[in-house]
Amino acid sequence: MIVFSVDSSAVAGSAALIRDGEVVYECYAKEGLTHSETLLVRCDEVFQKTGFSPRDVDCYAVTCGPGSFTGLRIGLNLVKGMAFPGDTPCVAVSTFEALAHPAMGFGKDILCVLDARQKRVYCSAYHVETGTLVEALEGQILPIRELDGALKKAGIQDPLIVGDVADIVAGAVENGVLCEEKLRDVHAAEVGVIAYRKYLDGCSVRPDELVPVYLQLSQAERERLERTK
Amino acid sequence: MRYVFNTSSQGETEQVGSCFSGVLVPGDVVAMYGELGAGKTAFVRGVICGLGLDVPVSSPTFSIVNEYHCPLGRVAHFDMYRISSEEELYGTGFYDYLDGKNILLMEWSENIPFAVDEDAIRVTITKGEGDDRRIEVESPRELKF
Repeated sequence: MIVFSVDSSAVAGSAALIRDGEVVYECYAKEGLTHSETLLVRCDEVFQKTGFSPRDVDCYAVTCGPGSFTGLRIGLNLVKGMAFPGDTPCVAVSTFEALAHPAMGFGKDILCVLDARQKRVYCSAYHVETGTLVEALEGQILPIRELDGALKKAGIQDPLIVGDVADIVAGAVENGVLCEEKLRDVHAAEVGVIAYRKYLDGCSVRPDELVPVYLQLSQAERERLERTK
Repeated sequence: MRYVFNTSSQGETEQVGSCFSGVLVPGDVVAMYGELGAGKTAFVRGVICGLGLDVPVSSPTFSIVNEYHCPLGRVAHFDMYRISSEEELYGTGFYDYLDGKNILLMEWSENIPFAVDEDAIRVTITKGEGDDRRIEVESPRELKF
């Protein structure tokens, strides 16, 4: 059972191949938002190093958001393109889940933060209960200054902060613990491992059913609701 | 900080743009205001020329954004005339450009007040008699022209 996974949701970009839930190879780099030029090259490297070809892939996986508008579209469209010829099943993995998953072993609440620019973050927070993530703060876009209040309201305490702006957010969250460097960015290997389990659980979709989760729309809707109150 | 320039032709407005380009650093966001025909595009033309590119510059009314690869870095020239919500703005890739490296020049910033933050440099061009224009530059940091 081969899963091929891709992430280009933020500045870092990666591709990985997973066999029966184990990572065989990952190609990762963080050199700027040039996914349109580099992501296919990374995919090619993964296939070359592992000796597999796209024909061997049973399931494609991709981070579906939130994240960079351009990056998400590149990743999703690349996966759609690779999966389309064989109508290969696809699994969309939340960027938050891909970030939170490797941080589960620390016995702490987890706060995921991604750069939404202009002093705002895409955020979500979780309790870890018997080895699973339980969402306490629903994924949303928030000004950094409002984050601490939202976390307290959601019952999140002393969280481990993961994500590409974890270092910026750490000073704004009471008793927040900054994660180690490797937990700052999404890795396609993690996306592939999560997707493997989702695939076994029957959570795959057809390539044309893959859609991005931008989160921006819900923010706009909330603002509209506020105005009409 | 506030700086005012008075010009009396399109060529002079371009010259002020060229002069203004000298104060820009990577990551700068320039919000531009002014009615139709005020000279915003002429100002941008001057900026691009001042940044060392000898290329035609027109308003990206339909493409929303044009990119110029200048020696100082990438310049994104936006026309927000057809943008009216944060959702639409997000769909242009606008937030991806705010990475602290690109320089953004945004015409019709009147339409996106929610996206112009306090760090932005504001350029307002006001029409006077005939070809006379008043160009007002407001900046949170001191600019040395």
